Amino acid sequence: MAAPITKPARYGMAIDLDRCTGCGACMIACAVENNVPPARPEATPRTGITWMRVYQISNGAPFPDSRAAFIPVLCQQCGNETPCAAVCPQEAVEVDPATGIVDQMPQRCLGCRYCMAACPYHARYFNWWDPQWPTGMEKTLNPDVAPRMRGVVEKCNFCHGRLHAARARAAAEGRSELRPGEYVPACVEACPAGAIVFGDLDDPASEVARLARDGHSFRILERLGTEPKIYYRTARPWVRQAAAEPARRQESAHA
Amino acid sequence: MGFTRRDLLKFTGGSAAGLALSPVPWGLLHDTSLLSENWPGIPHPPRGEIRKRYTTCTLCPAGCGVRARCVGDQPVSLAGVAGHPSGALCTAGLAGHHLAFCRDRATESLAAGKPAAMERALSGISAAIAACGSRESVAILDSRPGRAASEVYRRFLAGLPNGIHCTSLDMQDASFGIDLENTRAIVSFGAPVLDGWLSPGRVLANRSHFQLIQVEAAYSRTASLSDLRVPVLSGTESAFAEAVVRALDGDTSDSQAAEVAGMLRSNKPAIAVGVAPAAGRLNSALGAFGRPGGLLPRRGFQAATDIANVPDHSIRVLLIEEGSTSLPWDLLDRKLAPQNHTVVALTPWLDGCARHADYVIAAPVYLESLDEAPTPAGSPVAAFSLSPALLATPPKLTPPAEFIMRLARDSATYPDILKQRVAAIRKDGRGTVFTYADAKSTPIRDIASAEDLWKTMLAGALWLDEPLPDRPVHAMASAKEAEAPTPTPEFPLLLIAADSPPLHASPLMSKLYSESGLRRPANAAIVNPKTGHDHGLSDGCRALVQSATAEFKVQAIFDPAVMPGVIELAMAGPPNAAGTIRRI
Repeated sequence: MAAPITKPARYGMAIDLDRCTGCGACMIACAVENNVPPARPEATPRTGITWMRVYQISNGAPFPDSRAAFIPVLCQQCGNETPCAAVCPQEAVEVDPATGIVDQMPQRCLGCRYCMAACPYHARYFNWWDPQWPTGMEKTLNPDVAPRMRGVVEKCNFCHGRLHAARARAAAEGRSELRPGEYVPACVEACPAGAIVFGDLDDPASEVARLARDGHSFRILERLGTEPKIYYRTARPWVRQAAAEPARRQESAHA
Repeated sequence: MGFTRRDLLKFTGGSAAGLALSPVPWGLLHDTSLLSENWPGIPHPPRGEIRKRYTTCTLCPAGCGVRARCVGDQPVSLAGVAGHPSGALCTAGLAGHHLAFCRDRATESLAAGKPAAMERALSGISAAIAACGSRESVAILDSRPGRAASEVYRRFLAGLPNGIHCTSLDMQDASFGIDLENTRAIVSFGAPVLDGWLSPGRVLANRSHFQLIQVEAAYSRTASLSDLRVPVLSGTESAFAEAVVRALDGDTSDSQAAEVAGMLRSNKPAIAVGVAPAAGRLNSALGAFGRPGGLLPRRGFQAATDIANVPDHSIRVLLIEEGSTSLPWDLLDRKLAPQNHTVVALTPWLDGCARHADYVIAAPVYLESLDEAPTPAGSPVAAFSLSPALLATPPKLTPPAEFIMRLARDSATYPDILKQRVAAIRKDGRGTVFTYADAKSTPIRDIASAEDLWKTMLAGALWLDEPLPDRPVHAMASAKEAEAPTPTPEFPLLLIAADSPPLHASPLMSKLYSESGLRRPANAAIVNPKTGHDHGLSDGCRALVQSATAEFKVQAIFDPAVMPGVIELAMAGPPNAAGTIRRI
């Protein structure tokens, strides 16, 4: 007998920046999983769509002391006063109380892009063009995710299609909760360095909750008080500082 | 009281304003957005039975296990196999199922650039081979020696009076296994250790266990993440290796070499990888050959002649297998007989060497035909796995080994050759078989027959040999080190290779190269801001890079991490030459 999933969760991630090599496997896995189309020739870093985007930052030292770090940035799934949800005139953004996931509903979206302006993390992307794949490649699309139309905003939803599939499996087996590791987003599964850990932040026994409490963990722009559910870890102070105050750091780099 | 023109205007204006303030426009927009979701321009993902299938990636020598999620017979996503020694997939592997839809595919065989029936191509190539003179040779450039296909090539060439089985790979790397799990320090002479070297998943899984010293002029991804970066120009690596060896003996005159030696002393065991002469010298000094944490001997190594060592102007017929096309054409052209030479490209692509070929034999891409993955690069033991096709082979395409067998008038098929190899593994009775579906290892002697092993391998499995006992091994005679280019007043800068976009890859690689800026776009020239300013450049400007033999239009990008006096070029082929740059 199928049972609904009743146990609420607060899904989050811990990303180890000291393990990330910036290979981009998470970006490719994300695009494959969520039917994000390849770039149009005219696309740029400002108009391209990457639900998960890896940024390279530098310690600012000149040759030969330069060192890099790579920061994967995705929707931070803000848990408090979610800025995008607060400004959406269409209620196209919704925070799911059962999972803590910030969902974007393209069917409701008008494309006003208020949410993009409100997002402090630049983690939302606008569809400037109809999604197009090279001839024949439509056959490789994931049947669990509908491609989005031109004129709407989209973003990471922790691979909602996978959550639905995991819930359906659990319900079919008569379980009312998901097992740890039964549901993981594509980027987590793809990371060859094992830098991304995913799970229920409210489950104190989970690996992600343990890492989130770790002394080396921090959240980007934590001072804004949006309570992101993406935690980053690094033992390198300059990486932590850059993530905490990106604007000031950029200014000093250009000074 | 009449209805005046003013009344009409007031009514129209009021209606327009009222309508704008009513829910109607929002409703219309909402309905339009719903409608637009089903416009013909929005593709509909196919529906069908969803199932898992397994194969092995053959895009590079890592041989990673692949779990494919298929809708019907069509793979819609690829992922690594849990527990597989190679670990997770790289970006190319994750999107490998898109290769079949890339542009520039060869869809039929060509002779002199025009479609040709296979029989015509076979007779033309056979005639060219028969016309080969006594001082001329027939060569097959093998993209990955050590496969059953390589054995097909060797057998074919052995039947000719002057056949050469050659490769462009550095066989030094292929001759040893690397005990990465027990290594505590790696000195890399330009090897992309953190960017695709060996099996990326295996390397990254062990990253926290070893110190990485990157000896390289370019500010590569590996250099940027290394524990110690030593910027040394191409062609001077051996000199630096000698300095490190002296420093290990107590000479502290070279501070950088002394720093490297210090790290090596405090992180044992250590190995050196990358540019062969330098790495070989340092490995000898470190005693890395044949001991735990070093370079291990393994069975099944098949050598092939380095194409660079083939005499110039000696090859009458050159057959180039797919994957060898990253070599600069100039190098291959130099090896060809001056007159009446024939070049055959066995490739899925119309660019690269196919542009210079007299015959193009169109080959399937990854996942379109049954293939094999031999021992992964750096694996401490010999290994073998099959790469079953997940897609139907398009008509008119012939796998390279199959074509060579037809050229040799061999009645067997390529799957027959693979079956023979599997039967030989079963007969030897050594090692274990790791099955992808359940991540279990089974001693090969527990598999009843060669037929059972074949079926197991077709369902997705990896055979791993037993390790050889530790014993001394010796470095092979390796290729010469590249010559260090000398700057001149006309060409005062040094051109070095930077990471460049792959020639053939999924269209989704745009996420890395153009939509995020994570990787340098094609035709970027990265320079230190001081070097740029000295040559009249500004960040992002268009520029012309010139060397004595070539010139390229590029976009200049400033990066203070780049070595002053060099230009890092994100394009295929290592330039390693003196050159200059100017604004255009």
